[in-house]
Amino acid sequence: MAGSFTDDNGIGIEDKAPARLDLVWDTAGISVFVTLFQEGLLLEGQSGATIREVLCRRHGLSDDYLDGRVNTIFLDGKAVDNVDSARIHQGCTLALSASMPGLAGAVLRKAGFFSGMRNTITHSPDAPSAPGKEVLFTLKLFNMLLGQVGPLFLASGVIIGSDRLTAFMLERTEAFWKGCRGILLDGVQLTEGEFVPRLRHDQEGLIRLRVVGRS
Amino acid sequence: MDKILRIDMGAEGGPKATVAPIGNYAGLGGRGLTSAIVSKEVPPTCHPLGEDNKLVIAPGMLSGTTAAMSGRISVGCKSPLTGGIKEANAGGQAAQCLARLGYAAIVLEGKPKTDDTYKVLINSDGVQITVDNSLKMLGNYATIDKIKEQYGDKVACISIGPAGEMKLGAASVACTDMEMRPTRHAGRGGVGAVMGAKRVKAIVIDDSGCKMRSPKDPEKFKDACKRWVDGLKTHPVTSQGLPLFGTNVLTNVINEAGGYPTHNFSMGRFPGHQSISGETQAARETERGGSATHGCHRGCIIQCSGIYNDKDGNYLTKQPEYETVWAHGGNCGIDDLDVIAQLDRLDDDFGLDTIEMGATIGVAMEAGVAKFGDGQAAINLVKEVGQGTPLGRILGSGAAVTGKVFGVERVPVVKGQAMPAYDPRAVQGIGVTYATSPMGADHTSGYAVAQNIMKVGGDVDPQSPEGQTALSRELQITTAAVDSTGMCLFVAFAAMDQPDTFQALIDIINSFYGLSLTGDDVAALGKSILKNEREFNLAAGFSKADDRLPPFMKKQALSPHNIVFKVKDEDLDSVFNW
Ligand code: SF4
Repeated sequence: MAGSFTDDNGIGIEDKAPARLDLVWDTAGISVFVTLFQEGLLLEGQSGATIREVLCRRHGLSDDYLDGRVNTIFLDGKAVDNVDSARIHQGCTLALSASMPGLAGAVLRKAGFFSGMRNTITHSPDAPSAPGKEVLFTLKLFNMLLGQVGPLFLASGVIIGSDRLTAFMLERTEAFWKGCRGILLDGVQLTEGEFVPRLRHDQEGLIRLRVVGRS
Repeated sequence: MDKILRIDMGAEGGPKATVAPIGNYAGLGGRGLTSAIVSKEVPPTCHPLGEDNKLVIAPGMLSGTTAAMSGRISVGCKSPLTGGIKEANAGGQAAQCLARLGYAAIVLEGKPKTDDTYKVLINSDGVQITVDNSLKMLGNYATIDKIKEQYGDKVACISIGPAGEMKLGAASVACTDMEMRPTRHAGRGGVGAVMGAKRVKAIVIDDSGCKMRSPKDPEKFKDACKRWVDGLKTHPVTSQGLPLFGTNVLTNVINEAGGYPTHNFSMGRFPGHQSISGETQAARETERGGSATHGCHRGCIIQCSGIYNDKDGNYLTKQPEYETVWAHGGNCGIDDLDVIAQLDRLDDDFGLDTIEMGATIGVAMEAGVAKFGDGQAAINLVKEVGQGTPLGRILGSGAAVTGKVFGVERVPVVKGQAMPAYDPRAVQGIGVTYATSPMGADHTSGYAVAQNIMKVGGDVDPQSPEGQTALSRELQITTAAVDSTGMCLFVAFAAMDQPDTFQALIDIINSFYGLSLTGDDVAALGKSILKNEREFNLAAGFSKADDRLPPFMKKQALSPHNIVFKVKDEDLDSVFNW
């Protein structure tokens, strides 16, 4: 894996393989972990893959869910109307949301009647291309999608900066920590007490994080 | 709802109430009625705070019935903020109570001859107007505490805070919610200042002993109401998004679109968005023992509101809405929900429009009065408004006045009213509505309902260049019509995606009133309301030049998309060509 990715924004896995962190938490804890998607978490995909290909074929989201529930989509801040013609690339940001209320919600929604009202920020279809190299992109999830599909992406694995994960873990309450069911860092079982100091030790690196729920 | 209560505040010997049949205004409610009365009875060139202006308070056509979501109340007048016609609306209990007492409207007229402060009681025995100077300059919360002591907590109350008494352009009219707190505001356009000019501090509405209004065709009405509720409970926006996260669910999404006005409309994204998002807000409310799902009036089944408690778990304010969180939050660089909640509480207490105040503080921050991001400074500025200091009175007069006083070029207003939380450079079609709405920049002109029923914009391709103006026209017409029903704005999505649900709404009106309206009739109603409003503004001195966004929108590109507002003036002028 080392040296596989570079990122236009300086985010990436360059020379060093990322640490591998497996967490098992209770369901309440999972609902806290998913909030990280509001700012975004890194996922892997193939450059040139369509939104459908990367989310459904690669990461296991169902086509029905993508078509029926993911009704507001942005690729690099541009509103997407067609998930089969918008393609990911290195360092891009893909944000997914359910239908939103109000006029703005109607205007921004995927292929909605009012989409013409935001034509200056509409994503233009990308030309088809052969599958490219492995890239990292940022996935953001909002509102209902956090709880509905956030756990799926966490369980299949995301990539996060060690510093960001440390800050997140340091902010957590006692009740959250009570939900901890297991911590495995690079194959080594850690206690809760050992975990954060280990994270703090390596603040520059990236972590390949998997979080699964267990009651 | 077949009578109108008129109170002549300037009558010889003191305020005088008369109740008369609704007459020529029959069949109208909400915005349809407020705009009809204002355009027919108020001289367009009158001074908004003078004796010739009238404050019209009207429940919607369906308020006081068992139809879900029907508790919106409209407040209309000539606006002291825009100088044009105004309708501002609010939730809370007042619409239902007033409608059950049979009143289609309350009209406050004339100008009192003394400095006394008045309180009005309306119940099934009639109307009582009394001087109550103990209420003078009290905040809305303290006012309601006094009203509760005297009348109990089962009444509804419409009141103004000190901002209304000082007749400031950002002053709102407050309505009490289900817990009898003054949290629901007809905020826009300075309607509170007109109530202040009439020196009416509080209108207490006691509907005890009154029944629900009864429909002409009870069976059909019941069936239509059931289909209506089923539709609202099925749609993901009205059954999940709004109840779970409230309107603030929009923060992350608008920010992602690059249309979230930040630091006084100088950027389209706010770095601290996730700290103030609806998702974060809902989690905090639940964690502190408040609530993320709460209605503003009985009969609301969407429940987009909530209860925001402070760090110690004590009630601080109702759940601040998206517009409030944006105005006091990202627009001022503030990423602390507790600060925003305190500002919301202060606005509600002083009786101020949260959009106008947030936009005004943004302008003041740009002028260097305070630093962007300084929450304590923002709190202090709002407190100055409540205290009526000279600076406070400038700020309380709104963003346009504040911009002038401090020499700021970037002032986000149309017709003198501050823009809401969507930057028109990113979402240009919304800019068309901001520019051309007779109300000034207004986000509520957005009832996007089932197209195949309404089709009021004609058969224009919505993706074509003319599409922008055609869609805005369609939205404004539909909004004007639905604003007359008393239905909450947030029914719109279910009514847009599910034609059966929109049909159920029309069937509710028809079965209640014994009518046979079609989508075309609804469109005709919307058009006639807009026509009244446009004619009033024209006679008040408005011209095409007022249907424009501020010049900076065409010159200063908005990040991250680096775009300016591009819709041509000719296109803006064609919005009302129907
Ligand atoms: S959906 Fe929200 S604004 Fe509408 S009536 Fe219910 S609580 Fe009030």
